[in-house]
Amino acid sequence: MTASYFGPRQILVVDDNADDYEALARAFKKTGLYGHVTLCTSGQMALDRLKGGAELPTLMLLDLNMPGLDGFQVLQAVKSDERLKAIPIVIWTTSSNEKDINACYRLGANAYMQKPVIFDQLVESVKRLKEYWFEAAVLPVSEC
Amino acid sequence: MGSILKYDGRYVSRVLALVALYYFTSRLGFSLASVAQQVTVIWPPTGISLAAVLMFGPDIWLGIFLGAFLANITMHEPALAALCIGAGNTLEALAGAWLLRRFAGPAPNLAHVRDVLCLILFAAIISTAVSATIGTTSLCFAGLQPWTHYFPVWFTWWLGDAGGDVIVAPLILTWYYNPYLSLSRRGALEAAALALAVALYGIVISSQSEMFGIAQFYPSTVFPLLIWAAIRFGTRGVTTVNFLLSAIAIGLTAMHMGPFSQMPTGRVLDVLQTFTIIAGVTGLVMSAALRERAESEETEQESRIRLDVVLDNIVDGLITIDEKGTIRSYNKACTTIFGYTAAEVVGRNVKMLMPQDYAAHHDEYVSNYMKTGKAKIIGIGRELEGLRKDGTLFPMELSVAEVKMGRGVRYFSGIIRDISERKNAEKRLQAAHDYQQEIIGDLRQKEVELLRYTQDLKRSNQELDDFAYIASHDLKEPLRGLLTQASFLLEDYKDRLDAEGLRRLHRLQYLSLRMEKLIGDLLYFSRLGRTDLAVQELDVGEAVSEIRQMMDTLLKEKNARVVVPRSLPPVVCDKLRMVEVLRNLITNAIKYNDKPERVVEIGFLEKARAPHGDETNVFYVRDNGIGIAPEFHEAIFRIFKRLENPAASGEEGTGSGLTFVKKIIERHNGRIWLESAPGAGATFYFTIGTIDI
Repeated sequence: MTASYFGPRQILVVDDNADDYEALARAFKKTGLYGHVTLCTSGQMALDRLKGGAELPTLMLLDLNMPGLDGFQVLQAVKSDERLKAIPIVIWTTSSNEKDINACYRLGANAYMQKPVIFDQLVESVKRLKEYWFEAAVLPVSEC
Repeated sequence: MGSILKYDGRYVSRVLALVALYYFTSRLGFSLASVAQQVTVIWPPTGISLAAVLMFGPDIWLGIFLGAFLANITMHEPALAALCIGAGNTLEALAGAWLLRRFAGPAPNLAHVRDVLCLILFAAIISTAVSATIGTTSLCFAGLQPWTHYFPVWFTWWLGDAGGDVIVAPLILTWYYNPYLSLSRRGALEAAALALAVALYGIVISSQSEMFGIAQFYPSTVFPLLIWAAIRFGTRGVTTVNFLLSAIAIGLTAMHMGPFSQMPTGRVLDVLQTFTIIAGVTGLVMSAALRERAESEETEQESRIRLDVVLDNIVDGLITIDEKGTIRSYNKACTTIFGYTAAEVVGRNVKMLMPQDYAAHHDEYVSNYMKTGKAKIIGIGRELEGLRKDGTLFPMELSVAEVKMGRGVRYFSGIIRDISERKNAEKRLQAAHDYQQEIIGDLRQKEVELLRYTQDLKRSNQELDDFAYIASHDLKEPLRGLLTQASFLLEDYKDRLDAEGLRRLHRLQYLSLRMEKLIGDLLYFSRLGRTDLAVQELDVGEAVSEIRQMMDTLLKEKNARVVVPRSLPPVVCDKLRMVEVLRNLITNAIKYNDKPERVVEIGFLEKARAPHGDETNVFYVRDNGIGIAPEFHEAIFRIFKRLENPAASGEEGTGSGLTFVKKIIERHNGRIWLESAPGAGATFYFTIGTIDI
């Protein structure tokens, strides 16, 4: 437990799509969150980081459609881990499929967002995320 | 006795005639008296008296009494004895007649054996004893006969009276009850021949010759004559012949001629009379028996005729065969069934009515049954084939009953029913049934095929939906990247690009967005096919009001109205989807409209018939817009199909609205169609079917 990946107000982004991540990174910059973001390009990598570090991220953005461990498996792994399950997870995906949405909520996802197509909308979404998860939302203490 | 006035002239004349007849015949009798002067073995008056009482009733007693008194008083008997004898003779006739009537019936015409036996027992044996006893006793009391002669006198008396009852009374009675002689020419000739034979008999027995052997044998030659008379001329013939023969015999004997004359004198008439009585009784019994037999045969004949009439009127065929299979009876229905007449088959073997293969075994069947008693058909009834005269075979139902006659003779009577009609009907029914089964089989097969097709189609639809979903989902990622890159380019290189470069970059962005929309529609379309419907009852009118509110801005902007002429019926459907249908149709109605006031009417036709569908409520959305040419009425429902350049209407759409509408309606098991022509507005009709949940 020596390595520390996540400082305070850290956001973990799990996404294999470089384009999407690039757009997201730019949006984070625009909202002043850039220094708080850690990227994992695969599910396995994300789980390794979470289990290997003492600190936990404040928020996790999780893509569903990934090679190797997909978003559902990562979500299930995190939410069934006593230490990790307190991390708020926002599903960040292309899919608007109801089945996917329902499945994610059943597995314990805290929010579900469809990746905006237009960059301006993406910036707007990230602002909302920041406002809600960093400033408004207080998760139950017992689960922290 | 009643008043004397009752007795009219006819009665008096009858009495007088009887007295005269009595007196005359008694003289004849007395002339042959042998045992005693007053007692004779030949005494016709007894028979005459009996017949008189039977014919004219007991009132005739006076004639008998007077006749008997007269006959005896003239024989020099004391008056008292003559009175007693007269009374005895009268009593004899009355008792005999009463007993006869009592036991043989009111008119004993001797046609029946019973009459004859009653005559012998009650008249000839019993009633005569009365007269014999009274008469003999009277004679002895009067001293005319010694008491020592009582029994021979009694017996002679009794025998003489019995002879009268057996020979004379039947002659009178049979002719009295049947006085008419109606003989054919042949009958008359035969009667003459018989009379001649009787005469010949008299001549032969009077000849006293030994030419025919023993003389005592001659008397028995009366029997052939009596039998002849009995057979051919009945009771009257017998009584007549018997009377004649007896008269001949007595006459000859009186003249000391004939076979009896050679017997010891004194007893000769007794023997003769006994013989005559026996012959007479034999003849009477025989003729009565013959007559009864003939009568019963007549009755049998009658009932047979009656039976034939009944059998001939039976609808079913009826054939009787004997043990050998010979046809004994064959009714009219059989003629219809087999084509043969009764004359053609009766007496022939029943096999002629059977097909060859069955006929070959018929004897076997019958003999087998006779031996084992195991019947294959008797009392059971079977369906067989019959053979008609014209050689054709036909199906028939046969039931056979065994008829046991006396002395072990057995007949078999079969009832035959021609069941060709029924068989044909059965065949037709069977054919129809087979055909039906065939069709059902075909249908089942088709059903199985259809089920498989449906499953295949469902699966391929599912696959298509899945494909559309996955494809469009995966298409979205690079497209989003494209858009992002364009955005970055615009943002980062805004200053370094000239106006043309910026315009192209914007165009790139526009096209990417459009592509994104199309993919979105495709995704949505595939989802419409996949997701379950949330079915509930929807107040369509209320839904229209909600849509009106949602589209308020657009309606105002386009100067459009949505009118509902009468309240709409509720519909069971997925509310959100149905609202989408209505919104799409209303939007199109307003969008493709060039009128200054755009009017959209929403209504329904009650229980109208949809094309190729059942009767149901048909909703419609009607506009006063630009209309659609008939050749496009199908094409407009295809996805991404737009009839005109978006620039022309100033509207931009993906052209999937009606595709969604159609898909939703189809998911609701409904149909959608339209009536429209360019410039004449358009009316979209749709139905909502029953939804399986």
